[in-house]
Amino acid sequence: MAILGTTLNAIGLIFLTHAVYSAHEHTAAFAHAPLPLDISIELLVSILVLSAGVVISSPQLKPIQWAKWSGKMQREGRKGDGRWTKEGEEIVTENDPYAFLGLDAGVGGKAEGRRGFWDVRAKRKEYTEWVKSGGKN
Amino acid sequence: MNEERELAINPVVGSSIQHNNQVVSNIRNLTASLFGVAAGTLGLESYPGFIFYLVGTLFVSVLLFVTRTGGKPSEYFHKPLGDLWLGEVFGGLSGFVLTWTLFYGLVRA
Amino acid sequence: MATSNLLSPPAQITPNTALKLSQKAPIILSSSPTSSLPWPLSLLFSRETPETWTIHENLLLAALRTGDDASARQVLDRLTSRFGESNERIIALRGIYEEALAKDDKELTKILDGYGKVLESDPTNIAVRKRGIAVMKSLGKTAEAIASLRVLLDNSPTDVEGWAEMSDMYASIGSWGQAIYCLEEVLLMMPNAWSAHAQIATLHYLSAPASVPSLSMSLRHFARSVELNESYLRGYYGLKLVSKKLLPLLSETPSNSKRNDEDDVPPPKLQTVKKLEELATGKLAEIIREYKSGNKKWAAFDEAEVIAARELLDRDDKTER
Repeated sequence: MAILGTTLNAIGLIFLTHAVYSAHEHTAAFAHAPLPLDISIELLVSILVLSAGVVISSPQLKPIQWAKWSGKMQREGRKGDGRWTKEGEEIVTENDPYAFLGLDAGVGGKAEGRRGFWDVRAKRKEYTEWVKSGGKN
Repeated sequence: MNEERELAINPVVGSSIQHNNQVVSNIRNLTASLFGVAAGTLGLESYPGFIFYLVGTLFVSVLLFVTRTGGKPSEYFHKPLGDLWLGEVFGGLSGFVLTWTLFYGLVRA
Repeated sequence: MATSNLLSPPAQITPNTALKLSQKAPIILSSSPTSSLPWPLSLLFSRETPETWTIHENLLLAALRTGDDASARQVLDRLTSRFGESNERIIALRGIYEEALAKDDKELTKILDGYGKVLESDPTNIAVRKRGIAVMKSLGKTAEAIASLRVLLDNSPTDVEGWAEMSDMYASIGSWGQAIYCLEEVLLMMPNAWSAHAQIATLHYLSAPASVPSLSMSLRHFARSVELNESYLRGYYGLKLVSKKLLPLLSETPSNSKRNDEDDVPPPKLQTVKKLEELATGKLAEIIREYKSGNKKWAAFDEAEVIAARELLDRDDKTER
């Protein structure tokens, strides 16, 4: 989609420039004659192509209904809109806003979250055991 | 059923609404200036110019409806009529008039 | 990929992810975000962004988790020199660092006493209070941790994180009623939290797996959780499980046996439960199918959860035949 949009934009811009330039030359030569049909058609077509390009290359809309929005996130995972920090971390814009409650993995689950109560020793233990077991998964 | 109750049962996502309106507004502003270029170059004056603008925005609305919402505008807009079909129509008008007069002056005068 | 993201870490961090996160330490530590120039110039040449310090904080936790204590120390020093020694959050982070290095329970108790002293001079330091609770829990003193958390919640009753933790603690000692109450507080503040709805439903289910009232409460909350998230695997799983248990119970007891208890919500109708079960089965099957077919738009589900859902459906098929 992105390539299609850019192509449409490029083609449209070339034709628009050409049409406007032609119109300018035409009026410079014949001051009060109406614009020839071919220039008008080129102009209109280029405008239509350009606006199609603008619409297609615009960012995707997001669903506004809560269930649809969260369901999409659940299916497709967390997402950013392509911005990155200087440290090379992607800025995630679509994210579970309740992940910080740490309730996702059930009772006594291993979900992250509730960072204020983060049990560093348990996590360290989990990690060393993982290393000892050969570091699978 | 009143609206508050409806929103409590089927909540809407504020950030998504904001994002969608922003996208529509950007598209409107960009395309309005383009329509201004065309109207000025064509040498349209007074009412035909504004009608040209309205036809152009309608075309963009149809494009949005088909390519962006996939024919289901109520999934992306709280009030499809106001936010998609008529959304930001007058917001783009000033950009339209600006480029309209500019190109009219450049090409015709 | 978004999985090992230091700016917003994923909801579940496996040791593998933790390792990947902490391996980013050399890159981040190689360039200082603050400038070493004198004051007015340092403002012009500073490279820090609002995200910088979140990344540092997450890096500190990841490094401590993987035992990369040297990097952790460096990150902590950076944070301390930026925000000052007496910053609430810095005190808590320093506490985490010390907890990680503590060799035995005795040292840990000493750290706990240190927290107590900090709290004496500044009773409103919530970050440190939470650290103290975490240490008590880690030492196995659940009762003390609960008491301390109760003090915290008395003073700041809008602390959602605190309520969620309290619920988890109560659940761990089997006090289902209190655990449910705490989660209801969470729902008061965040009525759209689908994970909290699913959790409260789980608690209702665990509290009395064979009684109609708690099963119907559980059913209600699971139903709400999938109403708020149309692809919530856990919600559909619970819905299926609970409705399966509820169906025989409801068909045994005559539906017109009225109980005039005002608090008691009437049990759902048999047909409703049947419909819900069908819905959950259909949705689960859809999720499993799309996930197995490798559809990119359905790839974010947890594999273990999908397998569990599949087993549930298989078991169901067997009993019906």
